[in-house]
Order: sequence, then C-alpha cells, then structure tokens
Amino acid sequence: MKKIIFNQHIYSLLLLIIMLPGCLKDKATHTYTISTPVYKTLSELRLSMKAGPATNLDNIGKIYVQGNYIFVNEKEKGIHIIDNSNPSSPRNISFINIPGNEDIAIKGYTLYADAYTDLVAFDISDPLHVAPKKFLTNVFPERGNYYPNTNPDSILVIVDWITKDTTVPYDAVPPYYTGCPVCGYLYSTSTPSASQGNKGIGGSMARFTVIGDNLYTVTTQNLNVFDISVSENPTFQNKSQLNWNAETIFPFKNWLFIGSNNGIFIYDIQSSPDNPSPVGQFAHARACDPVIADDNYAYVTLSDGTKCQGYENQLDILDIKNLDVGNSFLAKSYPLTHPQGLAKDGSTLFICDGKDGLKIFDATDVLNLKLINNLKDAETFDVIAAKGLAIVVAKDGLYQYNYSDINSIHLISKLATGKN
Amino acid sequence: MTNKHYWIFIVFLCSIGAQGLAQQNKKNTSSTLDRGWQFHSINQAGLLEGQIGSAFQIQTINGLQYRSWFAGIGAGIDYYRFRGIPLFIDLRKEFGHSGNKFYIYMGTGMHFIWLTDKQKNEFNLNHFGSNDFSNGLYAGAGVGYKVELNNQLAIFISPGFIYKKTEVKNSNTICPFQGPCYIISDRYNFDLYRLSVNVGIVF
Repeated sequence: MKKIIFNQHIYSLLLLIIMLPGCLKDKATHTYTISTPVYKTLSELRLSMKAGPATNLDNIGKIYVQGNYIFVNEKEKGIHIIDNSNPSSPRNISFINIPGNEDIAIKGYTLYADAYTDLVAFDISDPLHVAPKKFLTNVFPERGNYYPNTNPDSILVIVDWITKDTTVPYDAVPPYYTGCPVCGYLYSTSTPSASQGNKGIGGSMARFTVIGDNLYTVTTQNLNVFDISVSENPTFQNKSQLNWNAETIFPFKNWLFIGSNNGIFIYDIQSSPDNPSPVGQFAHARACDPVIADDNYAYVTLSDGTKCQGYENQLDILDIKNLDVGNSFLAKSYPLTHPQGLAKDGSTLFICDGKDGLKIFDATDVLNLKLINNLKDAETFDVIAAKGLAIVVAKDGLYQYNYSDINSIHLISKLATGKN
Repeated sequence: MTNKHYWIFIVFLCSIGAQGLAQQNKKNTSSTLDRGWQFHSINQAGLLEGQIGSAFQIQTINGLQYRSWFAGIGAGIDYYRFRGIPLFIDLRKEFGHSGNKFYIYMGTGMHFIWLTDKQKNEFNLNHFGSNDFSNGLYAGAGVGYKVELNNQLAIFISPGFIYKKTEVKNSNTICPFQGPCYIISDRYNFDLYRLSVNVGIVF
C-alpha cells in the first residue's frame, strides 16, 4: 500500500469546506389557495337555471335514466343530459345549470332537482330547451341557510368561487402543517339508492324517488313527501322526522328502504302514501349504506369514508321475506374493498367497489354469491343495470357495459370527464 | 419500500461494486497497461450538512474511464430532509500524472422520493385530502483527492455540493353550506442544498 501523501491539494479542499456552508440555505415555498365567493341574487340565479350547451363532465355524481336519455349530476352545479339512443356512442347534448344540485328524479316529462334548499321542477319535454316550471323554496333546510326571507331579489347566493394562488416563503426545517383550516365545513356529497318510478331508473345512491303521484326525498333528518299528481306543479305534502343521518332511498313494492349512517329503515307507503309509516329497521355499525331490494332480500353496502366515519367495507344481505310483519334479519355478509352503489337485474348483482372497479356476482344463491367478473377499468361510484346495459358512474367518466351475455361483459362506451 | 427492500437494495449496491471489481480484474491483463478504456466502480459514503442539520448518504457510481476522463451512472440513498434514491449521470476529470490525483466531478439526474413513514405523516395531517410527493431534479458537483493504493484500488475524499428538488401537493374538495364545492390546494416546493463530504473506494 502506498503511503498517503498530504499535499497542497488537501489544504485547498479544506478551504473549500470552510467557504461552502454560506451557500447552504434551503429554499422552500408554500403555495396555497385563497377562495373569494361570487354572489348573485336568488332571482338572478333562478333565471340562469335552464338548459345550455353541453359542458365537460367533471365531478359527476348521481345518475337517472329515462327513456333514451341519461341524466348525470355534476356535483353542486347541474345536470348533464346524455342522448343514449346509441349506447356505444352516447352524446352529451346539453347541461342544465342548477347550482347546489345533488339529486334527480323524473316523472314523465318533469324533472325534479334540488337546488340547495329549493326543489325545482323542470320541463324536459325538449332536452335542448329545459326550463324551470316551479320553485319550492326552503323545502330542504338542511342544505343551507341562505334564505332568511322569501324575497328572492334580496337573497344573495354564492354561485362561484374565485380562487387565487398565493406563494409565501416556507420554513424548510419543520413541515409544520396545521391541516385544512375550513375542515369544519367539509362535506362530501351523499350516496345512492335506486328508484323505479315511472319507467325512469335512478342509481342506488339517490335521495329522490318517484312512486305514482308522489315524490319522496330524504335529507339527513327528514323524509319529505311531495304531491306530483300535476307533474309541473309539485306541492309539499308531508314531512317525517328521521332521527338518523338518512342518505339514500330505494322504493320496492309497498316499501321505502332508507339507508342511513346507522341502519336500514323501512317505511310502508301502501296504507298512506302521503304519510309513510315505519315498519322495520336493521341497525348496523356506522357506515355509508346504499340499499336495494328484491322479493326476498335487501342488499346493503357498508363502506368507510370521510363523511360516514365507518370502519366496515362489506355487503350485507338481509332476509326480508317476512317484512309484512316487520321482520328482517341478516342472511349473510361479504367483505368488499370500498363498496358504493349497487344494482340488481334478475339474479345478477352489480357492485361498485371503489378502486376495485365494478364487481358482478351471480346472486342466484345469496348465501353463496359467485363472482362472475371484476371490471377494473375505473374507480366506480354508482351503477344502473337494466336490459343488458350497465351504466356506471366512475371517477373519470361515465362507462357503459353490455352484459346481455353475462359471460362476455364488455365495455361499449365511455364518456370521459373533461371531454364533451 | 420496506426494511426488507432496503437490505435488498444494499446488497444490490454491493454486488455492483463486486461486479466492477471482477471486471476490473478481468481487464487487468489487457487494458491496464495501455490506460485505454477501463471500467471503474466508485463506492462512497458521506455526510451531508445543510440548513436542517446532518444526514447520511451512500452511493455507487459505475462507468468507464478513458485517460483522465470518467463517465458513469450513479445511484444511492440520500437521507437529507426527504429520503430518496438519486439516479444520476456522473462525469469527472482527473488532474496530475502521479498515482495520487486531484479531480473534479459533476452529476445530474433525478431524485426519486422514498419516504419514511414519519416523513409521510408530516404532510398527512389533513385526513380528507390527498398528498403527492413528486420526484425532482438532482445535481451535484465537487472536488476530490484520490490516493492509489495499488493498480486496482484507490481511496478518496471528496467534498462537494448537492442539490435536490421535491414538491409536496395536498388538495381538498371543500363543500361549504353555502355555494358550490371548490378545491383548495397546498403546494410545498423544496429546493434543498447541502454540503457533502464523501469517502470511498474505487475499484
């Protein structure tokens, strides 16, 4: 081994080491969003609630199918109208601007939609020229508190936010982050339930459903009944207080199945359609839970999440054969990843399982569900399945699958978010 | 990566060094004498000193030397502020004709984030949001002094600068009681500079 020789080069290196630390200051910046509200009067806002040109799908929510049209909720903004005459090539034809919209139901040519605290009835006989026919003010008080009086010209409503990024220096040393300053207001949109009134079909995450001449809606605390015998002139009928956070409503036979944070509640609507009465319930741990039903069983998906604060992700199947006498019990549970909306067509059960995509089961024997297919094209939210066509709302768009041959389910179209 | 992956990575680095040594031995008979193209493996460990304090790094750089020039590809583990794996191209030039040589080097590439659980939690206080840590530019330059122990082995000390960039993004959808939902976002940019002092061996 050669002897290590220290020469003038070493001294040069040491000099550099002494000089360099002056340049060692890290640079860090924090860029955050400042949001400023944009106001309109309620009168101005109502004037803008009509169909306009199609807009890009972006943050889509609930769906409703009526005839050849799919109505897709753009969360808090309105409703896309999709001409689905050709499911392999759906066309996004118009957009109804409805600030504060989350839910949809349709009877004939009248579409009912919430607009924050209001219920609005639209004439959709011409999908390109949809126009409001009636506003029911303050029927969903849980959705907001901006209507302290009844004069729409003096009520200011936030219709948009102007956001601006601001960059400030940040201390690189400790990432001291206090979290979201407005998390107290954080509120994610609610979930599903399927409706089957008047030929239209709603997704399982719906909170509106039409049966005969009544529109039933659930809010977190109330079950509302509206008389829609004259479609374009809905009138408020009745309100039942619910002491749990209701999220979804699904009509089946003479019952309404209401999914909530802490259980499934069943209401009878045969004896008095205007005044549903409770006939049974199935309690479970706190979780989000859309529900659907068939002759013998109710299917409930439980999922954890930011709003629901649950800890379970599973499918519960309830035996409701003796619901007439107010009796239901858990038949079986199946673990899932993060189940959301679901649908059933015959013996085929469709479940949106979050990032695991769409799962399709043979539910001939509910005690032994068999997975037929797991389509992992997207992070799925809700599904409507009928006549061999499964319409799926996903994070990145609206998917349609042909399942007329259950062993050869295939994607036939996708309307992607961000595209017309 | 888990601890298991970490040790697999260390073994990987060592195997690269061993492979370099083997190739060096293989080439010894033919190429050492004429000092033409030669494969070298530089393996170093070092101390990083910056504004937030000290950290450790290890690197292996493998490449070819032609006379006084060397070019290679380097990888390692860098623990300064955010743990990551730098992957870079390294160029260096030696000065002098004796066995002991002064040299300069520079390298540039990408720093791939490989966060510890603790680092992940630092930006995960908002349970409703989503956090993204992005990979960023990695660059370094410095000088060094190499002492040849024999024809096949040398040791060195090498001070220099290292820069790495990373970005943390957090976004939330806020749905207030009044008005439509909107997205708020937080973005943190880090440009991290530090002094490095490496020691190592060259096969």
